[in-house]
Amino acid sequence: MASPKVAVVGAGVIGLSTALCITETCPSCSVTVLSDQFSPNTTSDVAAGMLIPHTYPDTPIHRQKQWFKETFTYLFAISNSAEASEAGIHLVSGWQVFKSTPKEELPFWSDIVLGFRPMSKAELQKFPQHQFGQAFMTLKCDCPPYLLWLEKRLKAAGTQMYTRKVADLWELHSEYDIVVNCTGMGAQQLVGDKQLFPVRGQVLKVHAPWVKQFIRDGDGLTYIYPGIHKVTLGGTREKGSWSLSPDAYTTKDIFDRCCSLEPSLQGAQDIKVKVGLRPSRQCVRVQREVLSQGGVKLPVVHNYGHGAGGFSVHRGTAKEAAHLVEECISALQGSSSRAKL
Amino acid sequence: MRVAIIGAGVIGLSSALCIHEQFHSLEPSLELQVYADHFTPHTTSDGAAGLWQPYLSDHGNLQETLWNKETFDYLLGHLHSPAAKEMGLFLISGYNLFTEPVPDPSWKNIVLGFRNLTPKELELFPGYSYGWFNTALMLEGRSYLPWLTNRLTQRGVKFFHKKVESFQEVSGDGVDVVLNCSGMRSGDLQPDPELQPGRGQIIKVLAPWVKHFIITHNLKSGIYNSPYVIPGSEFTVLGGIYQHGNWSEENSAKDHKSIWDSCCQLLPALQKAKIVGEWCGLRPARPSVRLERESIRLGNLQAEVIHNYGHGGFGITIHWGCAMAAARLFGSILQEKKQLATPPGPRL
Repeated sequence: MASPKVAVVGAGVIGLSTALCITETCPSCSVTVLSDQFSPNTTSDVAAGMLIPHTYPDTPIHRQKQWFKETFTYLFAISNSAEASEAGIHLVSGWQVFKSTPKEELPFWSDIVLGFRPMSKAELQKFPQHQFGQAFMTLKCDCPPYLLWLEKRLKAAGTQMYTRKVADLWELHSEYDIVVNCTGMGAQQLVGDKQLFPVRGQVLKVHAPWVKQFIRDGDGLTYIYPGIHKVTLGGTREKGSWSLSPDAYTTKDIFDRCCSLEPSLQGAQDIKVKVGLRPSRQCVRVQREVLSQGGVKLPVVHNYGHGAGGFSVHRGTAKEAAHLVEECISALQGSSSRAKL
Repeated sequence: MRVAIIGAGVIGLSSALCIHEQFHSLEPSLELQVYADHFTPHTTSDGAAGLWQPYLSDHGNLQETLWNKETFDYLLGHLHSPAAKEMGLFLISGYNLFTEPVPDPSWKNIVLGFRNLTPKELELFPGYSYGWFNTALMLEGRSYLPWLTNRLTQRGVKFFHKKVESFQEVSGDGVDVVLNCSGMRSGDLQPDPELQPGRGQIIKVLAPWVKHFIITHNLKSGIYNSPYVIPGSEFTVLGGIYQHGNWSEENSAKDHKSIWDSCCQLLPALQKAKIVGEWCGLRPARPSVRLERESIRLGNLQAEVIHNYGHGGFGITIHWGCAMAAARLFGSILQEKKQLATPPGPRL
């Protein structure tokens, strides 16, 4: 197979980073990205893009740690380069605070982020309702810049990108040799995955440039993440809700909760409300599959179900998916050489 | 009781506020007048980035360390107040970088979360092998000075745009106390060979992705002669110039290049930052802050002068501690005047 044709369905952070990894591991592949939405209208664009992992109950911890470590290392190098501002990648330090001491004092990622340590008593005085806290520095991927930067890298690698709604993976079998499914929440309908469910998140993006540090409540519900131009205030975790419309009561609730962590946010300006549906699953599906229909086979690589942790593990899962694409290519080449005999 | 304050930088305005806050109810006739040739945004304080951080060593001057601490604690107490945004006050964390291990600074327990940098963090800064990370405060002069001015105006303090040439000029006409907060120009009022300019120059850029301050140190070239990057609320300050004895108030192209090249080497992403301004100013440098009383004979009058100048590159860092010390000196002057005014009791 001289130039395998690979279609990546989905143009959020997972689709674009997976496509980019495929161009890196398989330079002879012809990669095309197909998606009904591109930045700034993807789920990824709503997210703050903080590298603080979400723990998947059914994915082995060592695998999650490996994904996070690869992602962190990759982005750390970009943050330290001249491209950092264009890519939207920057370091941010801050605190995770708990109303009561968590049973797990050291999360699995504490040695990957920078300078992780418990907060001092003096630091905790800023948070009178919280008893315990952790201070550390991590990375943030601002969207749209990061997605636009990925698109730019893809174009430079010769990747074509088309706006197209794919209703069925089989639509693609005549044009493409391998299909990579990075459709996030769309996978529920596209491949009938009933283990995938939305967790609705509403956030506020506000102008508050004096906020230089992140603050996150350990319960994961309330957070303040300063981006390049806007601060993301969150949030909600509404399991099973499909509504993409902002809720006014929720807006006020998020604002109040964030102001109680950081009173200066009362002076925030230009408040915009956004909603995204986290494509949630007990474990991220990074898996190969060969679909079969009437004697025709279609190799598919799945990379979806990242829920609340997409940015944190995106590069790691993209690399794994790219390896699976390589395996698909080997399998195709193997069977085509067998066919020649 | 009339008090003339010479100077409307951070020192003059905060000293005036501190004195008025403490004594206006005790001394109903208290009348404060601020005289200055420059007001915000044209003072030295307006050019400073506004980072609270003392020099590396206090040279055994524990008094100054205490004033620094008083200032930090005072500002920290205001952090959650509704006034914080208007004051230009917010928390900020960042790095101090060195090419060799150094002793911990006098202020390590004043700031929050002081720690050494990990090897992974030092990877970000090739050429630097040692460093600190801590959380401190920003107090932006171009917000703080107007805030102080508003508080003073509300209290009926009057402002006069005037270049004061002598203590005599302001001390006639019933003025009992003169507060000399004239910073770099104190030598014009009373010669002080210990007061020398520490010329600084900065470039203002838009680099909103920078969320931490980075102060590098070159122990041979001395404080602030090594690149620093300080992100503010509207723009980021790039600096690294300290020229002792240089009185020039013109921006230098050579200094611009030195700042730009060294800061871009420190943070490559700055190459893409847009330059929005440039400024230079004279830090009023002195081996130690002059904060003391002096009785000055002016003709047949005696005036009490409280000197409060010579804060070098740490004026914002130390201002409130000095303001309170100046207020204590004022209090003792007030006390003495009351004692003189009270007729002696009957001699038995």
